[in-house]
Amino acid sequence: MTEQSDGIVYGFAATHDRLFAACGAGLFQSADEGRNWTSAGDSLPTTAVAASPDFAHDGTLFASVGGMILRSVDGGARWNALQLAQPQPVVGALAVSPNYAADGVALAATIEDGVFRSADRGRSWSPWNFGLLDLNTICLTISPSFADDETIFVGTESGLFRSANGGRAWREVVLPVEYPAVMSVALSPNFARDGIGYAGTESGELLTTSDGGESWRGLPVGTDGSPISSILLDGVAILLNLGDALKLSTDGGASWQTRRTTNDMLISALIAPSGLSTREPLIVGFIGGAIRRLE
Amino acid sequence: MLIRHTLWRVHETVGDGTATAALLYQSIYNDGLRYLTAGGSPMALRAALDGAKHRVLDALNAQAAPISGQKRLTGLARTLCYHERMATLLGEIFDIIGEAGALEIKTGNRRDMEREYFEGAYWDGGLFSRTQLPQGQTRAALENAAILISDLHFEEPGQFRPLLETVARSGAKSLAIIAGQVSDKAMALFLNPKNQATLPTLVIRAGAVRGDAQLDSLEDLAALVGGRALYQAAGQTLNELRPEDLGHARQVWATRGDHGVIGGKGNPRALCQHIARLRERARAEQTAEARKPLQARVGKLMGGSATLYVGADSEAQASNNYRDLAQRASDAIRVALRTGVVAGGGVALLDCRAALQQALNETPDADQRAAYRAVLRALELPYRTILANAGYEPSETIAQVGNGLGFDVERGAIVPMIERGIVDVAGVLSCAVETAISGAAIALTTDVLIQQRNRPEQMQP
Repeated sequence: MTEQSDGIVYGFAATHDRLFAACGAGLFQSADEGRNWTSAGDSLPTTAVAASPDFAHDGTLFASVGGMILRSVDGGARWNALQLAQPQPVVGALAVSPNYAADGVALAATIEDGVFRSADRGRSWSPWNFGLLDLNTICLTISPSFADDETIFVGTESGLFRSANGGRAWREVVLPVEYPAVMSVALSPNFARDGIGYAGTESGELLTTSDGGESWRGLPVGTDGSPISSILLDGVAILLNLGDALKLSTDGGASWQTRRTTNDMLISALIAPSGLSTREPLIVGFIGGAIRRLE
Repeated sequence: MLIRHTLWRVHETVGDGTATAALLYQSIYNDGLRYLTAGGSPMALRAALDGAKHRVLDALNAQAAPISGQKRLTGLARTLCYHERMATLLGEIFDIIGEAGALEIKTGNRRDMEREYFEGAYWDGGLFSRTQLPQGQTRAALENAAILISDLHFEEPGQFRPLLETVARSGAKSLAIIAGQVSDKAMALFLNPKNQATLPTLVIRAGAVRGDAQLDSLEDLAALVGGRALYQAAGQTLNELRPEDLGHARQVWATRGDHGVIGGKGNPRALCQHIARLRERARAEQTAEARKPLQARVGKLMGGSATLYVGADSEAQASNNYRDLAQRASDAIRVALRTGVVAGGGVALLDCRAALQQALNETPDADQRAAYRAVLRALELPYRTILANAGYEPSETIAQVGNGLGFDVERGAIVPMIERGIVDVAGVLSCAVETAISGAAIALTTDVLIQQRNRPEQMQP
């Protein structure tokens, strides 16, 4: 377990050889699957981090600090800062296109200013909020088959929005719950074929789609109303972060088992770099700044 | 006058499809008239035509496929305007703004066509005083501003006192005042550099247009930025102003002619409901004239807008030809985004014949059989006309086309029409069919018709 001095663990990013953690105390990295963490050079509060899917070749990382997006093209050794438009937005989530090598698209979801989009490998960022009626964005998920379907989902304080043109325009998704704050969205790795996705709300509802996000229905999870702040998928396994507990289903959501990690710390972020198999480690970040590797 | 009105109705409703409607109307009317001359019952024929109409509309609906993506929208625009640059820009614009997005078509200053995107929403009505503009700039902006939303009239600086006290209590660091009238004397309060340093303020005219449009814009602004609009006509003043009556936005900007907001801090749920109500009202409106302002209001609230600048060799050409063309094409694209597309080149109508033929085979009723035959014959006419106009003999290919396959007159080959981007807008075609059959049915049960002496020799759908 690694204890940072203060703050919160906002999110993780995994590359072929390293893990990165965006924390209130700065950006951290681990080269041993989360056992030990060292500073990745930036000690400013870092609210999000994302790595290029082609990181092994392009070494591209994005991180957000204050009203800026930092970009590194050498695996985090050196960073360039890009100021976003005034007034300074706070970036809450970053995502990089699975087709980044070809399209150079990266997106940033901000807390008050909607979605910023870059189509030139992060050199410039512009707000693209056509149809995004709620600019208080919380989470951002890009389709694994983005090269073909250009689909992106963004969760906001009042619902879920979907773009089918690479983030240039957004449409509200009709959900079975009226105007929920959508905290997390996860899409199946075979999204293009099976159209399966999950969305977690602030009031603990888990919603699912099997038609690419056209229609959604509630999936009983048996939560106590705790926000579902992150969702991980691996085949038919689904892992939910409910803050003080994790819920795991190994049968596509038909049944759930609860796993409590600690009595007094709330989980703020998690990542399963090698999948959700019980043999693989789970890296958990806490409010307070700690990062724990669960075997 | 009846056919003119019929075609005008098609144009008004969907902006396109009048040639198809005219062909269908003429054919059905001529066949129907022959049947009535031979002793058929006008009212029974009219009822049967109505039945045929529903069968065709159902068959068209079943064929409609949704359209999305810049490439396909550009292809659709190309079939609507036959202008490459305009089609490219319209395809890009509608891929971004979608069905309800705000698009303004203006005459450009250059010979080429260009487009511009604006983030946020904006309305008519600029700064009361040009001295509020930063030196050498045409636009003033405030960040994280409180906003007074009103059409109130201010004569004395003292009238602003309750507002300034409320803003001070709210902790806002800048202020945008939307007002109906502000006298020079009252305006002086905000032109004082000391006051501007304490509380940067923009004083903006509430919409250039008075009346309902101005009230609508204030209502929309309030939905976007939160707060409550205060109206002069309701006798409201700033004396009853509460902090929660003020709206807030990440940015408010104004020029001499317009003002807008980016990142309105209104309740997103309330905004969604407001937009849903406007959409509902637009759907309920019968005419395009009544529907368009509501659609424009929805478009403005959707988070951005686009402007297409239409240039041409001369201003007259741009204004008279290209602007109208772009407007008609954009109206039809909006309908396509709402209703989908079907195979073009008359093929979708040919594919409606099966449903009608089945009904014809099943009914022994003479009036119904006459009506179905008349509509069946009419459904072939757009295909036949397109081929004949292009110099091909329609009878040679009509048996080979259908089920989405049609004749591409440019390539001289039978191709899958939707795949090749040769499409018609489902809503436009449905409107043309509905209006033509209904119009012909009414004409056939009308005693006197005024007919144009010189009928056009050829029409192209």
